[in-house]
Amino acid sequence: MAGFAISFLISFYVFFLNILMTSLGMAFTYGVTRILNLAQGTFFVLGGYLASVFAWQIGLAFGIAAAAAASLAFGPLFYLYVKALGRTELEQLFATYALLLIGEGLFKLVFGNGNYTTASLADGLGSVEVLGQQVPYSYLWGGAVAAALLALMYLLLARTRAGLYMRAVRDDAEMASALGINVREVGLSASALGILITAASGAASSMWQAFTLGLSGQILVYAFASLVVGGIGDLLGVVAASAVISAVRTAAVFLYPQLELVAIYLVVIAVLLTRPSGLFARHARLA
Amino acid sequence: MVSRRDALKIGASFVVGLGLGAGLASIISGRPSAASQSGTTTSLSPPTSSSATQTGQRKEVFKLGVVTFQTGPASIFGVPALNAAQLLVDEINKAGGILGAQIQLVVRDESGGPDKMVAVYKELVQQVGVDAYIGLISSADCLAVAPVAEDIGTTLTVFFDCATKQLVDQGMMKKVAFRTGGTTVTDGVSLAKYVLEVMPDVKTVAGLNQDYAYGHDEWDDFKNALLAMKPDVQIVGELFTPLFTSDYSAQISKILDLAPDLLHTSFWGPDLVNFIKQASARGLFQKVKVAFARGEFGLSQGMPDGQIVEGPDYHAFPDPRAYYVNRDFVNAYQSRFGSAPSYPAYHMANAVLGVKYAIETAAAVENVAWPDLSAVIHAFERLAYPAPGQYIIMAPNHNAMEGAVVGVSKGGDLEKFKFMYPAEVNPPVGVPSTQWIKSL
Amino acid sequence: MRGWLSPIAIITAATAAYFGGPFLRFAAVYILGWSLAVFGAWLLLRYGLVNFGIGASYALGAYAAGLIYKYLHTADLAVHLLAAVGAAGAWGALNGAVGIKTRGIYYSLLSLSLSMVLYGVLVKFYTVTGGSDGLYMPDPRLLGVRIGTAGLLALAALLAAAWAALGEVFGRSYAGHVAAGIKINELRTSALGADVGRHILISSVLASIAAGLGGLIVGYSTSHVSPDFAYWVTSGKMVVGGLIASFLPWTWGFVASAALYQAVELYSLQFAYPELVVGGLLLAILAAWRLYYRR
Repeated sequence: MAGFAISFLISFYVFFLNILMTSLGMAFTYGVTRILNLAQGTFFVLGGYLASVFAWQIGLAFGIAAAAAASLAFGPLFYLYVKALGRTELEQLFATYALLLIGEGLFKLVFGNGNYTTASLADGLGSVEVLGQQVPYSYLWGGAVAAALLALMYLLLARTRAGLYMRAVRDDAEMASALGINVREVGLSASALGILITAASGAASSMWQAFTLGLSGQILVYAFASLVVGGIGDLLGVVAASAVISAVRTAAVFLYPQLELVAIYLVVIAVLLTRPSGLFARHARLA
Repeated sequence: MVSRRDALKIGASFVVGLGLGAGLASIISGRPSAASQSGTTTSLSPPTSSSATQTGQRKEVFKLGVVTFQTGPASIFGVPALNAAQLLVDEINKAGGILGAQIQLVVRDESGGPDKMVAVYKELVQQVGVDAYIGLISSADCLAVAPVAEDIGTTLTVFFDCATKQLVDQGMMKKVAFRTGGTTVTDGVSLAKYVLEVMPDVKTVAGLNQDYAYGHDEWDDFKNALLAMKPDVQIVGELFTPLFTSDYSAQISKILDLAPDLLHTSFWGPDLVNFIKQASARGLFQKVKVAFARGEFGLSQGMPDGQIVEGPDYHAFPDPRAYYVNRDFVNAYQSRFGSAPSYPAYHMANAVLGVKYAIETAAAVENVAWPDLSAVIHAFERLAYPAPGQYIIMAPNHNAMEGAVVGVSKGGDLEKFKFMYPAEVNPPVGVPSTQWIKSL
Repeated sequence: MRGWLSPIAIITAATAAYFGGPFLRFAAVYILGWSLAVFGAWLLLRYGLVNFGIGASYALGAYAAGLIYKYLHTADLAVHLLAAVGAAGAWGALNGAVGIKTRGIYYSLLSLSLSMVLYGVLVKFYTVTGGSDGLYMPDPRLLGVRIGTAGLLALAALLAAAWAALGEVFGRSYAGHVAAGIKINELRTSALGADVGRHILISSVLASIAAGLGGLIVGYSTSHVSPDFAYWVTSGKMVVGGLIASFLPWTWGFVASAALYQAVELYSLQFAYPELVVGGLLLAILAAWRLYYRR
């Protein structure tokens, strides 16, 4: 019984980590800028690719950090690209879709079609035995990265002026603009941060995941699901949503494996039926 | 009455409509592109000669359509296959081509789904006018294109890699369609036989496969073959995961709980890599032996030693020191592309060489400068020819009787490997696979 | 009079395509079929609803016919049409009812989730649906006679023309104005007396039926249907098609958009980097649109 519980917890934890990391950046960026970024998965995969390439040169920890740093360049570029090409939300969607495709093409051009991962390096970290089950340290380090990112985001949002502006724009962009906040600047920094977070998450998850062509879309759906289930609000929403999705999916795998294919989607449907704006939205639709 | 303005508008929309149709025609039509793949060297013959096959007349150019994954996760199969195609086409052209005709590769990406692949097939056959079509890794694509190929019936169509046994069991290849490779039955039976050789006392078996037709087929064929040959084996678990799941911790936990003697998997691509990495990290391979169907790719991805791997082809078989066809192929591939050829490359070689030998044989039999399609089909149905991976024997059901290489992993290579002969691992012509497996 | 321009343009284009050889005939049918799904996406876009699940309707239209052929062994066009309309219509009603309270990104993801559940069902129940291998689609027959490529092209053109006509009527009707109102400011539109929920429900049904018919046509033209039809990436392409259609000023823009997108996609497959080709083109279209429509 204890064995089952530990297995369940470990599986739950890993999947929770996966979903949380894919959706943190997305939730952050979408919350502030309302850009539905279909290329979010692309940046996650980019982080993974870069980490894999760098880690072999400069070691695992530095590799992941370098990957995150490299992605800092893309954030502002992304925001400017989307805003230049799209005034309305639909046009922005279009622009990010084009970016998704172009990203895939560039991945093939630059990285080829191989499988990139730092898992062999991460193996070197070893594992710890928890009640009969081996838990690799890479998962724990991944958790540490996620926790650090969360802490950083929380501090930024709650304790800094920039964060205050971001929260204001997230809640009501029009009003924030009327109050004198430079929405464009705020959006720019939020995008940059969101992409940094996403790439850092991708870099960290390269320790247990392989990256190759065609995975950007896969990851995108998980990120969306978590964002939507959580609602646009505080970080708590994303964390809780990731936990809920992971719990349901892990339960499905252990108890009703037939449902694994659709578990995530059933959660989304169930949540949106009862709370059309997500579980922790600050401004939920009332009707 | 119609006002002048309205009449003008009707006329304008008529013209625009015509323009749309014509513009469409010019965009889609006539792209006799000579393998527009960057960084490759393929003979660029001027696309002037008509590709209509006229019996008895020598051809200048032989347009060969090749459709395989250049993008997406399955490109790890498609790119080596295309590499092999380019390699062989260059070699054949250097040696004079097929009956004097220089081969011109017309390449298309296999992405977009089965309906897109039907469109591509029709484009290649009806618009570009290819003389032969080789393609398709995905089973769904093969199953969609086969009836269309048979229906149009003008072009030799060779499936080189898809593994679905339905093409044979449903008799879908009767006229122009052929497959120069094995099926999931080949994989499953050869794995089962090898497992019973190295683990004759295996008692409990579990399966972990991807949740789609290929995964189910591979598992079913392996499971049924194993049970037919050793009925007291207990199947303790049948796990299926969605394609491109990034995390297998739940499944690994389950398998560790079940503790079977053997685990079967037909994972490929990122799933295979993720599984190997995550299972290694959790110590699964110390407790369970794993049998990998079509698992050659895993060898280079950190597969631990001692696991059972079915190639289905492997570059060291037949021994290049003894078999010059393989030696030349491996050397040429290695020097041009930097690594040993993988099994999709071998499958593509089967197809390209099959097309070449079928045409040459038909011409010799009919004693003409260029054979017509029915002669080529007749020849192909009875063909046996040397390919780099093995001697390919084509059966009257248009499917190759292909054998498979199974071995044990060691340091990124395969050792103790055994070649399962075609007759051992494929049903006889006319016998449904499921029936034959039961009789093992 | 103006309302007839769109159907005329479509039927003219189709007729021209008929004389362009076997591949162009096939391509015309395929494009016209796909354009019906684009119409569905476009219709919902007029409400500001981005439906990432339109592929499910597209799939249902084809699967209804495929399953009828598999189990009842009939290739009758009338039966298939009825089944496709029924299945897709029911799905549209489901979507509309379930999504009635969701908007924006929530609506998008809800429709995506619903379609992915259908996708999962189609893949899972492989003894019935053929799983990821899909089903064979027969050549349709009318009163026992095969309608052939000409008949299929005529059917596709007629359907596209009919939906274009509907689009024209919609644009000038009360429903069309309500749609624009909902897109701009839903609360105000509701306050002005429009039953927002009912409008969205009916449009969901109509969009779904259009997509279902589209799937049926494409299924016929390729003799195959697979769960891919319901995958969210397929829906995404239709949404992009719908977006391009919304840039075009003609009501038959959905056909033009479909033709453009499919032509580009097919064209891109000959390159080593097909995504760059399609992505680049979409970028060019968006840039052109921004330049043309400076705000």
